[in-house]
Amino acid sequence: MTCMTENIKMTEKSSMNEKRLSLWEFGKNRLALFGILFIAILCFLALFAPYISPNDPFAQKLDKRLLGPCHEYPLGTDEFGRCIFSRVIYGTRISLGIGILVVAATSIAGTSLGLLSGYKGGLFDEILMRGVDVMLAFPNIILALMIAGLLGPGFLSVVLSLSLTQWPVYARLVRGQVLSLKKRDFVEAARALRPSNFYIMRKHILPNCMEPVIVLGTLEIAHVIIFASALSFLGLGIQPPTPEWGSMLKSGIPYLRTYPHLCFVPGLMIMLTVFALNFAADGLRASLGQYAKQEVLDR
Amino acid sequence: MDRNFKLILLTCMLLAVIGASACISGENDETAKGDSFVENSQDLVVGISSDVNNWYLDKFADGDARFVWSQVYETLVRLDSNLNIIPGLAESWETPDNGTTWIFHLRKNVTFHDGTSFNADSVVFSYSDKSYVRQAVLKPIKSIEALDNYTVKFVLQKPMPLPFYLTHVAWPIMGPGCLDKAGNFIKPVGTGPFKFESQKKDQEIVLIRNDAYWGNKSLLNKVSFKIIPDPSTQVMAFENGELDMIIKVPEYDVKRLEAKKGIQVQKKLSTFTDFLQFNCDKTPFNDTKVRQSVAYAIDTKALVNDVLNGVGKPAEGRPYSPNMMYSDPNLKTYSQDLDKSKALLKEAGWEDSNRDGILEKDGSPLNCTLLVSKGAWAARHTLMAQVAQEDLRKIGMNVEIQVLDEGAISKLEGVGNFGMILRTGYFVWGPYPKHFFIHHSKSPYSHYHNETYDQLVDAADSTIDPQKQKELYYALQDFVIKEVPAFYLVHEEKVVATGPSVKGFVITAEDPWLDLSGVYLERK
Repeated sequence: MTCMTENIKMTEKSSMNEKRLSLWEFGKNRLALFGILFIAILCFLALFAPYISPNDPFAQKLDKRLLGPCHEYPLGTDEFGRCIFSRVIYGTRISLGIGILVVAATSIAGTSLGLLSGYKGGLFDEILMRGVDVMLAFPNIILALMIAGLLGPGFLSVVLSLSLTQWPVYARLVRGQVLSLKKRDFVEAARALRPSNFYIMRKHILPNCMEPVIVLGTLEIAHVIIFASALSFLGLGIQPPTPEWGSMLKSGIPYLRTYPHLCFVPGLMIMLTVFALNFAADGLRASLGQYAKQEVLDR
Repeated sequence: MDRNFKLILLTCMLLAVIGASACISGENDETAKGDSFVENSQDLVVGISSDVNNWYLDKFADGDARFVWSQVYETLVRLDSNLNIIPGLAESWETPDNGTTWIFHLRKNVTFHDGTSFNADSVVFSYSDKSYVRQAVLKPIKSIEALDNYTVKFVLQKPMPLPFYLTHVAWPIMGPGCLDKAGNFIKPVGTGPFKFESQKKDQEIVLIRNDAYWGNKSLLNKVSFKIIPDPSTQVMAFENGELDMIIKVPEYDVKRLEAKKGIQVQKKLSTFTDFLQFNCDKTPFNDTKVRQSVAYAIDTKALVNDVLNGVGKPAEGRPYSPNMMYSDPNLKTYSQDLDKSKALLKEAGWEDSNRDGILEKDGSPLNCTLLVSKGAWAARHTLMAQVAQEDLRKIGMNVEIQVLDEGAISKLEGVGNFGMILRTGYFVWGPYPKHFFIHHSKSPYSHYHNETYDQLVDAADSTIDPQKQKELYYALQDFVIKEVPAFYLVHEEKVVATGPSVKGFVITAEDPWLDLSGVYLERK
């Protein structure tokens, strides 16, 4: 929210009135509110995991395996007698961590490349955009699988493989924005003062294409969380015993027919998180105005 | 997108998830019987987890391939369902000079699947120096000679109990018809109760009955081996009636299947043992005390009773399953003792100087990797690895589990870049205690080097005197318990489940081996 308001402050055309209006719009959107609330709870859980989780997420109690929900274990125990509730909470750290890290890396890289490409044009633009075309033509997950497979499993390899495959969407989006922005009057006016190109890009163009990037970034966190879980599910992501939702899902599969809660809990968490992020992005899109909406939809 | 639409979508998805989980968890007997076609064909469908990687004697048949081989090929000497040695394609054998020369008298009137007759020449062909077994295990064979059409003489460099070696399903008798005139492999030609029919890579292998079989002909017309790598998927296919038999039931499904009507679950202790093999060439496991402390840290009883649902037998460091020859029943084994384990590590110089829970020595922490094979022989391995990891965390050892495919593991193993490997079997066939060769300096899988050990293994393998063998193997077991080149975790219990229509199946203790004689189908 703070990020959004700051951004609105930055944009040249938005006035205080518009800002209040859009915030109010956002508040009216119940689903978006649910999304933001849920994400806030998740962030809280991730930050204070050691204080909230009732048990050590790694401690095995082999005599207390596969318990249902009870007083000591709110969501039961897994195949090694570890507390599922604590593991899900610690899993929030991993999933949100990967989501935020990857989105931060890709949005910075993608935005800068898109900005340069759109502003400079010419051969650089041509080469970069054909590269982006190639990347977008590949199914993302296959490329990510390939990279993760080459790097071997682990947290870093997940972040790297997802970062390397997700940046083109930002580059493409920002470039489109820049192409239309750089012909606008206020850029022409700024140019009259003969500042450096970098100054124009930073002060006049970048702030104006941040809205769709923020919306896209929110959507991408959801996307990345799903991908990271998928990689872990396939055994290429986070390794046991680190609690990660995807790998928890995988290790629960043998017990799907006898103890479905092993799969159900992490599965539900992935689903709810992704829904929440999507609703939040939807709300942001609506409140940030028509302009952003159109661009993201065109993507 | 319209907000209402999203709400509807959300509700639908939630309902779908709940519905799906309800369907799966519900023990619905009606759907399990859902075989709509009523047929009394004698076509058995068996689930296995890996394809036959090789059909010819120049390479080793690994994984589940040997279950298929045991239908097509036969060996000179056989084992019955309780591991007693019985005649196979050889009717009798003798050694005139205490184990250096062996003479096998072959069964007459046996024909190969291509119609040619089985004779001494085919034995010479099967154990030619091009064969895998001659290059890997039976190097001491000096010569093989056909004395007449049905007598073969093996001459060895040293006395060895050769008949035991010749029971192994992966080095059976093959007909020269396996090869074309140029010497290229064309098709599997054996003498077994079933003939090779077709193979779809990673999908299915079809065998049909050998009507010219010399023994009791099978009652089945056809056996299809369906390849389903994931054990849970295999169990589901079995319960849906797509498979008549699964031969490696995962431990976590045993109790549930046992409780189901119509399904028969048979269990038998095999001679396989799961073990943690240490890299004794590198720190920290080059120190015997560290290896011993691992042995004291891992609770194999809890492992079997809790995690493996009581399937199998806790090994507590005992290298030989109780039904292995010369397995010492009075061996002093390990039981979990964390204090002793920690004390041993302290003696070895490992201490937690920075209080992070992980021990250090000379500034480097007690870290190691544990390699587990992805297409593991058994589904239990990943579970066992995680239990070991947690047990070792308690004594301050940080274990990183790497689940990798076989190729990646042998690469890491080759350069010595690992701490421990979780394995099963290795040089195990039937009850013959060849397994100790794994830690022998000359073994390709050895990461332990000790001359006394090598000499003991060589001596034990070079005698056929039971009293002497017993003494040597007992000494070796003591040695392994004290020196811990590997820590033995669980003696495997074979679990085979058969569907309601399968009759007459009897499980054998030999692994990998599948005995389908006497099996027939009664489909309702």
